[in-house]
Amino acid sequence: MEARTADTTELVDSTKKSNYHRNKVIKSIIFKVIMSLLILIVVFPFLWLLLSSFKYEKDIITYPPHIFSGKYTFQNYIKVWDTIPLLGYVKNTVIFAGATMLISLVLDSMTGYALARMEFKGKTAFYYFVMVSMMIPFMVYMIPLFIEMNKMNLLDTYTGLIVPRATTAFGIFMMRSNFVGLPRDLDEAARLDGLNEWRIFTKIMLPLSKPTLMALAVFTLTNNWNDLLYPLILTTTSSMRTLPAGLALFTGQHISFYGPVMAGAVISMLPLFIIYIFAQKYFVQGSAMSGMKE
Amino acid sequence: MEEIDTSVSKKRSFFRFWNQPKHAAYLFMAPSIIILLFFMVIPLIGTLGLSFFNINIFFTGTKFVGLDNFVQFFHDQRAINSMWHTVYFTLLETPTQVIVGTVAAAALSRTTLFNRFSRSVFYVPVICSLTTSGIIFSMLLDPNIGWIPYVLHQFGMSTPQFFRDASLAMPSIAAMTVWKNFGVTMTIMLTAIQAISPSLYESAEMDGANKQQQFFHVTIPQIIPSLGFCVMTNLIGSMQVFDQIYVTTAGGPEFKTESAVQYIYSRGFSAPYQLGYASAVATILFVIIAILSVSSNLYMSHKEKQMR
Amino acid sequence: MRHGLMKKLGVVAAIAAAGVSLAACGSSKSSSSSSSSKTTTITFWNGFTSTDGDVLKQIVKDYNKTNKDHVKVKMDIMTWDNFNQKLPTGITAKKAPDFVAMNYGDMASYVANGTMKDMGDFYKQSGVDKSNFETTARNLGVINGKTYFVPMQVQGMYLYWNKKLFKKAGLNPNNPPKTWAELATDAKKISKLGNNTQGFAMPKDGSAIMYNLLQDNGAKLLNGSEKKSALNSAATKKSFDYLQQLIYKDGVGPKNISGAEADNLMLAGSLGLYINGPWLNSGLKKNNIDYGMSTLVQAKQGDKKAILDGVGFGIPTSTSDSKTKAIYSFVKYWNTTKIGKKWSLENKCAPYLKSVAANKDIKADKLVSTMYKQIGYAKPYYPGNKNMSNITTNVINPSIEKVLAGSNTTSTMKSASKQIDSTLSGN
Repeated sequence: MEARTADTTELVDSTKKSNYHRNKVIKSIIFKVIMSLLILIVVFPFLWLLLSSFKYEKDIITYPPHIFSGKYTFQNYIKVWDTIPLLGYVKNTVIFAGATMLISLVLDSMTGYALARMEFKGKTAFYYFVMVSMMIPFMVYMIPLFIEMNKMNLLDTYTGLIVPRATTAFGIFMMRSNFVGLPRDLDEAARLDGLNEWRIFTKIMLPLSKPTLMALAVFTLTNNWNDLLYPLILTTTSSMRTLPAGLALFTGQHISFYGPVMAGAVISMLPLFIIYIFAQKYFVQGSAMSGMKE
Repeated sequence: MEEIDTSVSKKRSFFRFWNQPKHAAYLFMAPSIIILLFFMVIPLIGTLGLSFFNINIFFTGTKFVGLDNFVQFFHDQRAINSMWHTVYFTLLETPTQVIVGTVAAAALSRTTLFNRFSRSVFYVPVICSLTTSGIIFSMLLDPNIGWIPYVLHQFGMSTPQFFRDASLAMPSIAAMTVWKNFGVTMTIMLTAIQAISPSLYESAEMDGANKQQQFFHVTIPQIIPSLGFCVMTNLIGSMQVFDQIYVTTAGGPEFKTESAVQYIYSRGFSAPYQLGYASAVATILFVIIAILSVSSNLYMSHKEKQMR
Repeated sequence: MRHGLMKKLGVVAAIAAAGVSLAACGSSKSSSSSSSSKTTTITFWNGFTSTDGDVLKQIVKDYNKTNKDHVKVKMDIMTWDNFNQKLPTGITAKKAPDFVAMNYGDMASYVANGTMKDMGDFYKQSGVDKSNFETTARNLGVINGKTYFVPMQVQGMYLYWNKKLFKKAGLNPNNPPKTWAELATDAKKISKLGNNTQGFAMPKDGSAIMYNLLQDNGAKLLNGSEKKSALNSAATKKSFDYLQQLIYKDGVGPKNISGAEADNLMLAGSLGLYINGPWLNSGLKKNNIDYGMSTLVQAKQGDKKAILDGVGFGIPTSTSDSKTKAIYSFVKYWNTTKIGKKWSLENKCAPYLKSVAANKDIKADKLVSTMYKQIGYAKPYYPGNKNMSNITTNVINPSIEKVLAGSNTTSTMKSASKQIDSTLSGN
């Protein structure tokens, strides 16, 4: 917009012009100050957490509270593995979120592909089924799911955690939109070359969908990594708990240590944060696509 | 010989049959559809079914009670309140998040270094779990060890109790949720704003519109569909609020922050472990969410038709 | 054709399950390796998340190293809240631990649902001297005439005070309040010190304190047959009014605080008076707080009323009988004089084994003997009532919260009483 307004300056006389420029500079400063303030609001809790996780317990619970403390220690990061079975939580979260992500990428793109590029009986019905599925929250059917998993002896197992999440209506929707956007004649040419349907899908369509697949991958990974209620209900022993469920269960009553909990919180968000730094584009794309309209 | 021949040809015709797109499609979709059926549709029907029973978590003394659980709901002040609290949270959270997210998107729509940095930072809370956010904020806002209440106290306020104050707790939770999630809205709205053709602004400028006027007369009408989408998903998401409440207040003080899902959870999975009654409450919540989804969907498509 | 379809579906399902089975491999490996050796591994859940958990861990470690029965105890510690969220689902899912340590107040509801095993034969084991257990302690685990729990710890609520704050407020640091009225006077003085100093903390989930206060004032929760609420009384109103005056009106302490948060206030040295169980001692010592502990305050000087509480070992019905011997081996070890003494001294709680109580180190410990004195006259609160845990979490704790926030005490009491009635009739 800067460039656009520059063209119109010819019409304005010189005094107005300098006024205008001064206003603009002031506006830009105000804008930057407000934004920096907002950045501070967003970042401060994280910095405070990081800093406090290196404090002695005594300094954490002291009044008045201080942001900085004279002494820092690693003891919380050592103690946390002992007080909370954090290693197990990390392992479970990696297995649950990782396997769910991989499997759902395969299943979602298969279904999305069929809905996007194949003509078959009942296509509209299936499409609406997926669309409606997107609107059904897990919370309303969690109790029967708990009972169902119990009857199938799948409570507190990796299988029980992964399978119900192995496909998502949103993932299907996202992959469908992706495949709809690919050129129409691609598969027709491949079919003429004698490739079968599975090969067309894996050799031609999937390689062209890498950006969407990446976006969906980080999207499902984040969702499952951070989910609380689902693993809370489907796991019973602490040896199966994921990071959010494990941490949430540790902030209950009679906790007389903040330090290790803070260290645990830092550790729990570190992996996703590192992935975010390197794959920021895909995270943002995933969110942007969730707002995509037909 | 003949037998082998027919089996080969049978195999071949079998393959040919399933290789036709109109048949192969079912194979492509089968795993997803089966999973959705087994782990969503069947449990969903189960919710309705269970709500007609008295059933506890040990499955002892299961009894068909007809509509009793629904009758009980309307006499259960705590249950009805939990619905109101959910609505209250939604009314606090949704507009705030949409406005903050949209304004941030509009302000940062030009791609400069500063703006790109700001966007990256604003998205960081999105990848942080609500559990972790809850842990951070319950310590940061704690009147005894938290830094923020202390600072406010230094400015002459009586130390605000945030999560512990019956009237402040829900707004605090909503504010925390906005902090955590506005990056999503910002990203969606940013995509929408950047998709607006520059020629629209140029012609507006020609007509002498200043930036404010441009925002209201060009930007807003162009982003209405995305805005509508954000409002809708936020509404439905807010109706399911649980994680941040479970971690920060667990429904307190005085059940003032107990949301519908929190209530379902504590009825079903802590004493007295009434899975049947919890299912009845879940059924009612589902009906509310369904009405909301369908009506907002209809409204949106109606609006879009009008705009065309 | 159909057969073929199923086959293809099978292949697809196999693909879907590939990652899953990989994951399952990992979990099955660990269980097979433990069963191949001779040792019996038994899993143990409890809620000792505080510093007492460290002592418990040490004892379990020693036991695993020294026991000759080839038993290995694998412990899982969680907060008591979560213990009660997870144990029922664990029992339902057949994933329950082999044995647990459970709070006295929760026992009856588990027994009523048939989820706990009869442990009566424990006392018949060789090497177990039934007469060495105090009868009151042993009876905590008896429900409907059967022994479901064996004592692990007995406890009560005690009065803690911060001597440094007492001095600052001009009070005698060696003369703690004896009655609830004195407690209020002292707390008021301390709360005037400023700098976020609190006089007395009443946690919103402080039902244990509430029950003691009610009992001291002569109020009853349930009627004689325990079929109806007896809460609606002048004595209850007096108790509610007392707390409301103290916290809400006089503001001597925080209005909305959980037990865990109140503990932290005490540990940080900014709380003058507090009522809590024995587990607070080790934390106070660790944080170098100059404090004192005495028997609980009373309604009138000279009264001797207190509620007896405890934790007991129990075995869920899902545990196979083959493991009972291993569990008994650990429980037996726990109830030896050596371990009983260690737990009492390091964790500061009253002994319940006569041989421990007679020990001279125990007698010499001032804190432990103070507690032992109170345990001597303490009585259990509505023993064996399966509705107590439900009433506590869903009626009493919310009422405390309301009273502390300034709700009308009469109407709070009346609605609580009604809720108790409906809870009792619902079963």
